[in-house]
Amino acid sequence: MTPVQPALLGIGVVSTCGVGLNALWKKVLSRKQPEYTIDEKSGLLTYRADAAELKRFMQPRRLRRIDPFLRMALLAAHLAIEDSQLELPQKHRVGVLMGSGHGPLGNTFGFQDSVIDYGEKCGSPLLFANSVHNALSAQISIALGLTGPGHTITAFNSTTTEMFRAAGCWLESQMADYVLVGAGEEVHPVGQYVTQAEGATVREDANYPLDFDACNYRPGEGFVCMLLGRKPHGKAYARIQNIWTGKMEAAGRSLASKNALFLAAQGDAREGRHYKRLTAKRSPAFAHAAYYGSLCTGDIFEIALAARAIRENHIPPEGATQFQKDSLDFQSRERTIDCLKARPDGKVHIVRLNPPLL
Amino acid sequence: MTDVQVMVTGMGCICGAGENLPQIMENLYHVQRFPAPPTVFETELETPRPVFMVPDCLEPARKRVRRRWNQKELQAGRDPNRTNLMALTAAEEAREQAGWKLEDLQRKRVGVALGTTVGCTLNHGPFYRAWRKYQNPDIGPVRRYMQNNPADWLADCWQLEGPCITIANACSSGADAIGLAKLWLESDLCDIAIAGGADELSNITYVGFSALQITAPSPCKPFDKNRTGLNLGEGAGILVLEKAEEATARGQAALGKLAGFGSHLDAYHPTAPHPKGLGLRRALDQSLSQAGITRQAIGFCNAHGTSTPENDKAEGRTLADCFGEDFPVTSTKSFTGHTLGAAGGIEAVFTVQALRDQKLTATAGFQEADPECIIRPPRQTLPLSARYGISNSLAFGGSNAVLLFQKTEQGDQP
Repeated sequence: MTPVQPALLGIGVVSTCGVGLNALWKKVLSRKQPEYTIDEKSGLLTYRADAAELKRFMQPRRLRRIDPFLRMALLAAHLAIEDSQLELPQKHRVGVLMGSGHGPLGNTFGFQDSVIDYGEKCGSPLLFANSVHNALSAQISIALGLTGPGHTITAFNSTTTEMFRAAGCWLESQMADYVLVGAGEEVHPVGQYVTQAEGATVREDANYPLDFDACNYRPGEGFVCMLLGRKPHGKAYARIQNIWTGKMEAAGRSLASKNALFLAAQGDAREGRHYKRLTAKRSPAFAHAAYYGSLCTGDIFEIALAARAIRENHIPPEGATQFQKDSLDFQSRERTIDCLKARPDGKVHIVRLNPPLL
Repeated sequence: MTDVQVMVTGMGCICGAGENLPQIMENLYHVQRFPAPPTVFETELETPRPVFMVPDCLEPARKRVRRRWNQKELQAGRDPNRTNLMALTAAEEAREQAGWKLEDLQRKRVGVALGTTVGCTLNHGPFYRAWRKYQNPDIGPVRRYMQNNPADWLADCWQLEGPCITIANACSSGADAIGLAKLWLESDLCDIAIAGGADELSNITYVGFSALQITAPSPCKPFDKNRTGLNLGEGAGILVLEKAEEATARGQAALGKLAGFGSHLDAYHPTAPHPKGLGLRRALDQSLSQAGITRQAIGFCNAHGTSTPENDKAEGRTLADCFGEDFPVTSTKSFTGHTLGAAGGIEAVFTVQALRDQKLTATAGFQEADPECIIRPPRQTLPLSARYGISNSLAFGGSNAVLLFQKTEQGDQP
């Protein structure tokens, strides 16, 4: 990790549980799973998100050419800034670092649709422009007037971790005073088809996503943005103490036994075997995909929930999965949470959060 | 500010101008270019617009890959796409020049940062067309896409452990990847970094850029008064970056120093650059600040220079305003085409090589100066007397990146 330990100053969440981190947190507290839809073609349980509230921040006229994926990202970005209660007068000192596992799939396939349906001469320029992955950072920078450094990352299961690592570098090198980071995915029928073809089963049992032997994948969509700063202020949630990436064999040594674990497990058996090994004889471990769904940037949802838990000094029980039946308060423990993401190939990412030092 | 010095110890390149760096520079210095109608994909467009394709030379890289993974692993998706074959070809050239054996690199903390656009997008036309027709297509192409994220693929191919990132920042991706690798080294996240960009030609981008009406029907003419648009290209440009102390310890000469990196957003328009180059100016000043020098020290610029009316006007004016009308500027896209996510990597390689050779390549196709661009690139290769050079990258969405390189004396250790 860089010597700078970025502070999480504001968090914006758009998920199937609703708009805002509070909506997601309340659902976790309720121990009830959110409503899902059942995809007609694949039969998969699917978690959809709604970004209609974006009209609170942007005029409908400005949204005419903005697709659902970008709307989720824009809403999460606005919410994160609002949550931080910061004015950010020096917009050129605020960086924008966005990421996704697969980019805007709706626009990617939408452009292909325009070519297939109307011929190569009539491909939609708008859909092509919006299918470029950095439409994410571009539209957010335009909407919020942020003119610091800007990158977009597409690194599948490593997106969230590498995004935080890059943000730490920007802060440490003084390239920016604040960095708005964000990641998420959109559900698309092609993704549903592939998921089904990969052998995902449709089960409504309570052990999703922690039946590590099963492929019980529930496609989810949503977006999380966070405002990071070099130093915390009074409202800061947490700080990122460390980021570690390495092979499965070494990951166990990097996890502190006293820390709570938040797993970005998403019901994929190829990853599940690694979580199984890493959590064996280790507690407490929590996973919350049952509240936001399976997506390769799910770790940013876990980081958001870990930040909230640190602020609340309390981790609610894992009602939805019946994996971690007891709640946890931090009185007898350090308020440190390791957010863990295991990839199918056995590479592991750990983002360690602890309280902000004011 | 950090006291870590980031040195370039190896460079590799493959593009429409040639299959390795010496061959490419030879062509650039002799103003030889090879635009042609596309043959690496099919198109329905009646008047195909020229592109710059990589020569047919990727088979050796494919053979090396087949030694790395077994047949089952290759079939499961490790079989590389064209983008990654080009990335590997350029990376091998860079690694050899840097004097690193693979087994030695594997014992170091080596980061991999690559920029791309096509290389990380699920754009498999036949698969998608079959899916649309309810034909339940085999998901092999999707598995291959999932296993071919460029930075991840290269790191896995070489079995490297360190930070690993694929930046999809449109046309500035390669430059941003190199800039981020510099920050990794300065933050001690790794000791060595493999950084640059790679991108292949595809029917999707070809049709997409046609839809945007910014491709030219003839070979491009960056900064020319009569320019009509860009030509697409493909390729890869890779640098081996390492801390000066690492290079010194093994007696490796540095090819140049990466002295500064700037990145700023325009926050202006989804596809057009800011007309006054707001983000570009800031990125430029940021790179100068990192290098601890002033504008007067910069000897030349390898411009983004796409040959589109809007880019060249905004960039040319900004450069003239910052450095003066007679500032040496060229656009090597006139030899490579616009290689999108690879462009920043390829042009970084050319910038370091220009400092080493003290030669500024011509801008092929440039004939008549455009008063709106102000700057006038050379028609023939020119001698340079430059200690510092910059490489600009401007992207869709208003991303601007500037890489600032410093000349090191030939054969000097850092």
